[in-house]
Amino acid sequence: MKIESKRFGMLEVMEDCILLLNGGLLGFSHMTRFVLVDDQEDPNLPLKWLISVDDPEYGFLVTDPGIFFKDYVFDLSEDDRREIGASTEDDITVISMLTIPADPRRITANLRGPLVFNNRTMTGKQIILENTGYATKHYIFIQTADTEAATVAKASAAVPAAKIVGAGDTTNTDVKTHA
Amino acid sequence: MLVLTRRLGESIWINDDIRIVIQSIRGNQVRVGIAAPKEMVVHREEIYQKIHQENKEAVSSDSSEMKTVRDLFREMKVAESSSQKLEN
Repeated sequence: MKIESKRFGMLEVMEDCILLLNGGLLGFSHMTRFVLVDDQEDPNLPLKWLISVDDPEYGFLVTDPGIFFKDYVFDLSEDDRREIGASTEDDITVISMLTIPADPRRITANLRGPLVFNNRTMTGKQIILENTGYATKHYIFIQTADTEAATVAKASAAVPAAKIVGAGDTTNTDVKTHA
Repeated sequence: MLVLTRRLGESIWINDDIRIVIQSIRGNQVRVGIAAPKEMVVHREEIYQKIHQENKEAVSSDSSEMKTVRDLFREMKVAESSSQKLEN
């Protein structure tokens, strides 16, 4: 199928390349179908555009968070795993959305709300990490940002992989059961 | 907004499949248990708002900024490949 927008021009999209995000993106729940395309100006860069098939004027810059945050780990709940139909780790792809502020050198990755998808079935969702040290803004180019940025990045690298549920602190402990 | 008063241990049903229980009350902190079907998404307001906000900010911005962004990614790639060369 063809999708066309002012921003990205004309794109020829194969049906089986369409990424279906359950529940859409928070704040954009009307958009559930996306395509991941290389940057047209420089396809070799480790960034891609997540373009809405439903409204192709909307595109989000995304990257592989593993490139910038080597220790980035989180637990995918059984429910989420089942929802995207992933049986093994190899099925799962994680991407992070990038936000470009007025000073583009201070570009940040959202590690709190990653997109996970099953790369076999092309079904995924945006998950929100609970009980984690990861934030919605982590600088990805530390060398160009100030010390505050370096601190943020260090703090994120030190986050333990395991999610602690039901331990001690009752303030932030959530247990969700299913009816 | 519908406002209901509940005591500790009491609950509220929403439709036939969502149950909300007051699990504990300590000072101004209330612990709420939610039993809901798995497709029902439940989040704390402040976290939900944060992701919501970040998604809005992440909508692709002006292409003039993309030039700088591409340069940053390129510099990073150059740095990576030159370090590989050193190792070889």
